[in-house]
Formats: sequence, C-alpha cells, structure tokens
Amino acid sequence: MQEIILPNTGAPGELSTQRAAETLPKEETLLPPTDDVKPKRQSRNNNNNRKKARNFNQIHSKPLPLETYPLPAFHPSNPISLLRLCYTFLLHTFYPPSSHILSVDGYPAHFSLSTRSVHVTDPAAVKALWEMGFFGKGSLSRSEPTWLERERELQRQARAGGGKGGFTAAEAVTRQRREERRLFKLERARVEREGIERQRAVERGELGVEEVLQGDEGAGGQSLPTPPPDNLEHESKGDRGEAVDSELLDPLLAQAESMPLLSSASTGPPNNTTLLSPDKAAARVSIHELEQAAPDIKNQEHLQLTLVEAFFLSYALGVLDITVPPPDQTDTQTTKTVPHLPPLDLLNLFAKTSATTKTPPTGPSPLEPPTIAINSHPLHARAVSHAIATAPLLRDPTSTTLKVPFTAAPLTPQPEALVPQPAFTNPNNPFLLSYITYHHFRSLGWVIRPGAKFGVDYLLYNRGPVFSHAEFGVLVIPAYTDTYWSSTAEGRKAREAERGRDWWWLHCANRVQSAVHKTLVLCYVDVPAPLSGDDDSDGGKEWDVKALLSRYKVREFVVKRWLVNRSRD
Amino acid sequence: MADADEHVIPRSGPLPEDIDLSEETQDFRFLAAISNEDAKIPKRGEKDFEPHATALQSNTLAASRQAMHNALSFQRVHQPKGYTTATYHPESNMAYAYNPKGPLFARMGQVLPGKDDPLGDDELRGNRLWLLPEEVLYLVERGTLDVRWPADDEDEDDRGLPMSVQGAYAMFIGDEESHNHALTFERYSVYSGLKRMGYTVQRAPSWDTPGPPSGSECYPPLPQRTWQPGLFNIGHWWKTWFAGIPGDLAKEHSSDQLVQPGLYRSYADIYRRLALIDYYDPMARHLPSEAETPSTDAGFRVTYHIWKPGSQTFKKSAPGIPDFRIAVVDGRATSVPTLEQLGALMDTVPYAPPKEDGQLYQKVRHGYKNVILAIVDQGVVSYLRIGDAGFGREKLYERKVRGFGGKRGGGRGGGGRGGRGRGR
Repeated sequence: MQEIILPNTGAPGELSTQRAAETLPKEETLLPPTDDVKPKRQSRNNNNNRKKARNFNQIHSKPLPLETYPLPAFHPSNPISLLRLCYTFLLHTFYPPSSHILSVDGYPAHFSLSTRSVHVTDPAAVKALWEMGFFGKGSLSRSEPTWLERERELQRQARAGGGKGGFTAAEAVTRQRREERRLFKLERARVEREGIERQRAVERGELGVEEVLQGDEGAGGQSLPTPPPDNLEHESKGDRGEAVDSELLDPLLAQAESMPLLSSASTGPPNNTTLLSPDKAAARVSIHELEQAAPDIKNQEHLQLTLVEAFFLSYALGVLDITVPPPDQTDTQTTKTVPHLPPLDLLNLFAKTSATTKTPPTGPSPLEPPTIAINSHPLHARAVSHAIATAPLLRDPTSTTLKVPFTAAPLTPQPEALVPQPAFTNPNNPFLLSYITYHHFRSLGWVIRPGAKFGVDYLLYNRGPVFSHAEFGVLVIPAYTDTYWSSTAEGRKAREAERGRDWWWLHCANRVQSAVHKTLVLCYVDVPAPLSGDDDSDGGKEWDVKALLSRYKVREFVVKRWLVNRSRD
Repeated sequence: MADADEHVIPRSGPLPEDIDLSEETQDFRFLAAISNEDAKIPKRGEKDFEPHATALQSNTLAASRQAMHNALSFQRVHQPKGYTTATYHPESNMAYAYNPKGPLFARMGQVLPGKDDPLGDDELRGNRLWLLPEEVLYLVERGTLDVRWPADDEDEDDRGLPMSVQGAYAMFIGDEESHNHALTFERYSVYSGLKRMGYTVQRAPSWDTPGPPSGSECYPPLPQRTWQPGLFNIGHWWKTWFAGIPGDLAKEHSSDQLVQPGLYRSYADIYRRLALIDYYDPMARHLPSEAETPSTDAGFRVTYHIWKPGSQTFKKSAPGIPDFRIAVVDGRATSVPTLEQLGALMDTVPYAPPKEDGQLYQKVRHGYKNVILAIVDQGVVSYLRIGDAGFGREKLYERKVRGFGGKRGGGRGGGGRGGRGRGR
C-alpha cells in the first residue's frame, strides 16, 4: 500500500518521540529532593562539546539561487582599486559569467502526482534551494532538511555509548529545550505546593508563624524558582497537565520579539541522553552495536517543494528542471521521462492538479475526501448540525438516510468542475491565485513560506525563518470585479464561495495572528475574465505565461484589532 | 536553526496593547483602595487556578466578593440641579430640551437654525437643543434625561407623560422604519459603547446616503516636480557606465523564464526583472476631474466620526477632523467584504500616509488609508482596523542593509553580495 504523505506536515517521527517523552512522570509526582532548590542554570557559553555556531549570515547570504557579480569597490585614495575595477569590468565584458552558473541545466526535480508536490533529491540541489531563498521543506524534518544529520548524530551518540554531543539539528535542540522547560515547571509546581502546605499547616496551628518565615528564608527567600535563562523561549501555560498539546508547539515570550537573531543552533546544551524514550534508545543501541563499522546511511529524505514554489523556480528563475512522469506510469518508474515541459504546459499541469478533487483515471487514489461530504463537497459543520437537529426521528438507527440539504454552503471555496480546463480559460484556479500572491511578494523581496502552521495561506519573512519571526500572515482572497463574474451564470457560480467567508472566520484568523505576534494581511487577487477558448489550438499558443499572469491584480489590506480602551489618549 | 515560528505561541498572555480590560473579570477590592489623592490604576492580583483549602484563599475570595457587592449596591442618585426634561417630537423622531445643564450636553445635541427647526423660528429657538435618536436613547438609559411625550390638552400640567425606557427604545429604534431607516440596534450598540468609553460621537455624512463626493483630502497630493531624486542622481552618474550587460540583450528573448541567464551586478537587478504582477499603489490614485458620488455599498459605509475623550479641538460649532472613522457592519447580514465594497469604502476615507522615514514594518502596518469596522454580532461589538497597505511601495531589495554599503564609493561594490550585518 502506498504510503500517503501529505505535504507540509510535521514528520511522524517527531510526534512519536514527543509522545514518548510525555510518558515520563507528570508534574504530580514530586522530584527527588535536591539540596539546591533552584534549578541548575545551564551555562550555554562554556560548553566544550557543542558544535560551532553556524553563521547564518554567511550561509544564507544569497537571497535567490542565482549568482551576481558586483564590481569591486572603488576607493579614490587607493589607485590599485581602480585597476582592479577596470580589470574586472573588462573581464566581465569579454568573458561574461552567467548568473545561472550554480545550476547550469537547472536543479533536477520530479513531479509527484500522489503528493501534489515536486521532489528534489539531489543533495547539492537540496542544499542550494534551502540556503538560497528558503524554498521547500524536508519531508522528514520540520523545515530544513536535517534528517540525515540527525540520524548520523544518533548513530554517533549510540556508538559513543550515550556520551554527550552537541546537536545542531533544530529538532534536537528544541527537544532539549522542552525537556528543560518541563523540569523547570515541575520544580516550580513543587515549590508552590510546599508553600501551600506550609500555609495549611499554619492555619491548623501546627507551625508557628516564625517557623514559616524561617522556612521561607531557608529556601532562598524565593517563592518560585526562576526560569532557565533562555531568552528565546518561555512557556507559561497553567500548571495543569496539558502537556501533550502545549509541548507540540514551542511558545515564546513577548520580549523575545526584540531579538532578531535566533542562535538556537548554537546553544545546544549537552544532556541529550534523557530525551529518547528508554525503549527506543535501547533499540537503537542494540542495532548499532551489531555493526561495528560506521554504515553509510542512505538519505531517505527529499526536499518537498509546493507546486507554487516549483513553478516559481522553474519559470521565474529558471533554475529548476522538472521531470514529469507520463500519466501511464506510477511515480517510482522512471523508464521513460517526458522532455522538459514548456512553462505554459507546466502551468496547466499544476493548475489541473490543484483543481481536481477526483484523481485522474489512471494512477492510484491518494487523497480521500473528508467524511462529512456530499459529492466531494465538504460541508459546513453548522449545516450538518442543523440538518441533524431538524431531521425526522429515525426508527432504525442503522439506516443511513440522513439527508443533509444539498444547498448547504460549502466549507471552502470549491474548485471548478471536475473536467480540468486549461489555465487561460479558467483563471479562478486556486493554484493560479496562490501563485500570483507568491510571485508578487517574492518579487518585492520577501521570503514567503507556507503558513498552514498559523492558519493562514502564507507567512512573510524579511530575510528568512532563521533570522527573525515572520511579521505578516497572508490570506489570499479572490476578488471578482470584472463584469464577467457578475453577469454570467458561471461567473455567479464561482462567486458563491464569497458567501462562505464569514466574520467568524476572519476573527478567528485575526486572533490567532495576534496571539503569535503577527499582523494579518488580506491579499485580494482580482481575477480577470476567462479568455475564450474558441481557437485554443492557436489562441492557446499565442498567450504565454507572462501575459496570462499579468492580467491579475493584487491589493493588500492590513487587519488589526482596534481596542476602544487603548485608543482613548 | 529552527523554523523560528514554532516558538512563537506565547502562553504568557497577550501583549499589553492587546489587553482589553472590559473583557476581564474585575477585582473590586482595588476600588476601595482608590482615594482621590492617588488615583493610579491598581495592579491586578495573582490568579489562583484551583482551590487550595487554605483559609487564606477563601478569605481573599470572600473579601473580593464583598467588595463587588459593595460596589454594585452603591445607590445612584440624581441631583435636582441636573434634572433635565426633554419633549419628544414625533414627526422628526427627535427630542428637544431647553438649556440643559451638564457636561454631557457640551458634546451632544445641536441648536438648529431657523429654517431647519421643525418647531419654527420662535423666540425659544436659540435655547432649544435638538437631540438625535441615539443621543436621546443613551441619555434616557443613563438616567440624565427625562423624556416626555408631547403634551395633550387634557394633561394636568403642560408636560406630557413620561416616556419609559421601553418606550424610548420602541420609538427611537423601533419606529425608524417610518422615518428614514437609519438607527438600527447595531448602530445604537456601537454608539452607546463608544459614548460610555468617553468618546465624542457624531454622525458621518454617509449616515444614510452614499455621502458627498470624496474631496481632495481622500487622494494623495500631486507630486510637486516631474522628476524626483533617485531617478537621476548626479552623484551616481558614473555608475551607469558600469551597469553591466543585462541578460536579455545578450540572448534573444524567450518565454521560458523571466530571469534570463546573464550578468547581473546585484540582486536588486534580478528582483526588478521579476516584477510581473500588477499591484495597487495607494499613492497612484488621483482626484478625478469630475466629482462623483461614492459607490459605497449600504452595508459598508462610514457611520460615525469619533473624537478622543481628551480632545481639545472638538467644539460643537466646529468639530474639526475626527480622530477615527467607524463603519458599523451587521455581522449577521454581511460577510467579509469583497474588494469592491472595501475599495469603495476606502475611497471615502481621507488619505493618511505613514511617516516617510519610518521603519518598514510600521509603515506597512499603518497603511495609507484606514477605517475602523465595528462588526456587531447580536449586540457584541468587535472593532477591526482595516488599513490600505502598500506592500508594493516598500521594495525590500532596495533597502540598504545596515552594516555595509555605507561609503559612497564602496556602495556599489558592497551592495551586490550579501554580507554580514543586521538585515532589516
């Protein structure tokens, strides 16, 4: 059975490790008594075992996977600089270097229909695409493809008998921090409990007030332990055992906003051995003990590019060479590959892939429609609950004749009819709308990445995820100002999705963004009228991608909650 | 390295600027502590999450409850000096009062000129203050105003029957259908909420009509010169010699990709070649030659102009420029506005650009025009400030990264490759 891998989800391996960590004792059991009530402050600076900090400025110095050749600086006081300048200029004139020198034929990638994404496996290409522009996501990692590195670390650590080693992979560092945080919370809860016990004892008359004061001073005069000196991350959930939900997401205090650089990789404290659940660690150790020599791990991970990113790299920059398997083959066979597709065909392919909910006739069926659906139209929960409430009482509970009215408004804007159409006759395609927004913000210089984590379509970063938090979350909303959409029947059908966007949805999105210190941006994409496909044998060829894309217009609005109380002065 | 946003969800609570105290349960113990001398805002106490079975906790709880009861059981009295009577005028659905005293009336009501006064231009016209339906309703609810029905002949004194709060609601909101469909319960909720907070609220010109044509304040000012610095700067003329060979001169134009392989001196050149999508530029709109009435949708119009409570510039005769513009939206009857609705609404709002030298994020968040939508959902009001962001005007690739590219001569060379220094 083919494994279903949905793009842009966290790695399954990650979740299981975290769940295993949750089976460690919860906060109700007290820690073994220690002499020092305060938790040990992990000194992050003098840790000899950690790896050298990675210099993100150097690694990510190029914003796009292209090479530029600026002329050297000219200092009027230094005559040699003038010679250097002239030499470089003449060299560039007679032997002009190419901007695409890093990817002469384009980085190889292949299109995968089952995952609706484009996979890149070549290690040089993966590295280049991530480092220069933050494209794509590692399929077994959180974002940067670090699976191989993490596997090697684990191996090394197991061979060294569980010795200390500095992790640089993001996932391991995060695990470490969460563990520390959890221990800190247990400590804090314990101190609080002791305070309450003392209070109760005072009231029962067992303990005099003087002894309570002495006890307080003995404990260092502090009522709560201070948190670990991690200026990058603070959680302050309640002391209840909602460990599973909150541990999956790593929170951050407001003052950390002012720190633009995240040196998370450079601060990896050493005790990693307690992180793995006992059985998993034992399994690894036993397997690796058997093989004495260091085996070479085959990299199981690939870089997953969304269709939008892949089209941008291939069409706008020209650095990606996408091979598309013909429809009569499964993805794994590569006996016959189609030659390089021209951009218009690639656009049509991606548009078709995004638009259809039914799979093409050949090939496996990877995505099941959601369970509450009629004819693949997912229904709004309100419609279903209303139908259930008003449905007549069924005598036989096993009968399946619950009728949900077909006119219930669909949950999300539904794609066009199941017959895929070329892009220029159907400009209301979700792929095109996403791509227009993506290209717009990329061409302004933003680093734009998928934003499903925070319930939006895209996140905008100034330089990249490693440098600072995203400042904006973008929601793409199609707009139909052209008269075609209000006058014809197809146009009106396409506009029905507008009614589905209600104020509750917008308020939810806004609240989530303000909770994570981002600003919500509504990006209205004005969809042009479809071109008539009368002579699409000729007309299709005349329109190139550039002309198709320039028919769209984009307008952004920034949404912020306005507080009556706070705007009074 | 981590995908930084994984850490961002702060369970420590909202930012200080996002805390809306009206949504929190108040601790009334602090009311007793406030005296006239030091009227500071008291700190909020610590929150307990579960009962501890300590006497300390239960005593604290009892004290807080008692303080709340004390605060709520305070008896409100009306001073005889401030007692005001108004008379209801059925035809115009307003009420009028003669010389009402009190600080509230400094900012509410208006004296109508002779031709507008429904009762005619008699000798009492100058003292007659006309109050709009929402104003009357607010005052009646508050208790400062006593509205009477019009006097009949068989009344004992010259005053009619007193109007109850229910009657006031029925007349001023319920009976609007017969008048001009303008005061709905949603609009009244917003009005009373803002008044209670201390704002001065007045009806906007587009209260029940599309409103007057947008004047020149709604459009950006015309540029003073035809050429601006940056187009051709004398200091940089020599750099144009070294601009390099653009790629698409070297090869023939093919539609395979936007950025052709070639020699580029800087990433800014590459980004300029990527510019393909048409975006809305808020500074490019200009005053149309002939004034046209705004094409705003009835559900999305500016309803109120409000001034801040401490505003020194507000005078009833010359209100001046409002601090905020509120558009009341019925949350149940409308959905998220379409581009036409939002665009038309934005057209009626004056142009208020951010500071030129501001930071990038502040400039984009401030926007070039803004309006506040008050979305009312069965009496619960939520305010959203919508700003017309001009992302297209802020080109990130043109921003000089701090730390290099400072010197004039070295600017060209350093600007190309990325380097150390704090990116912004």
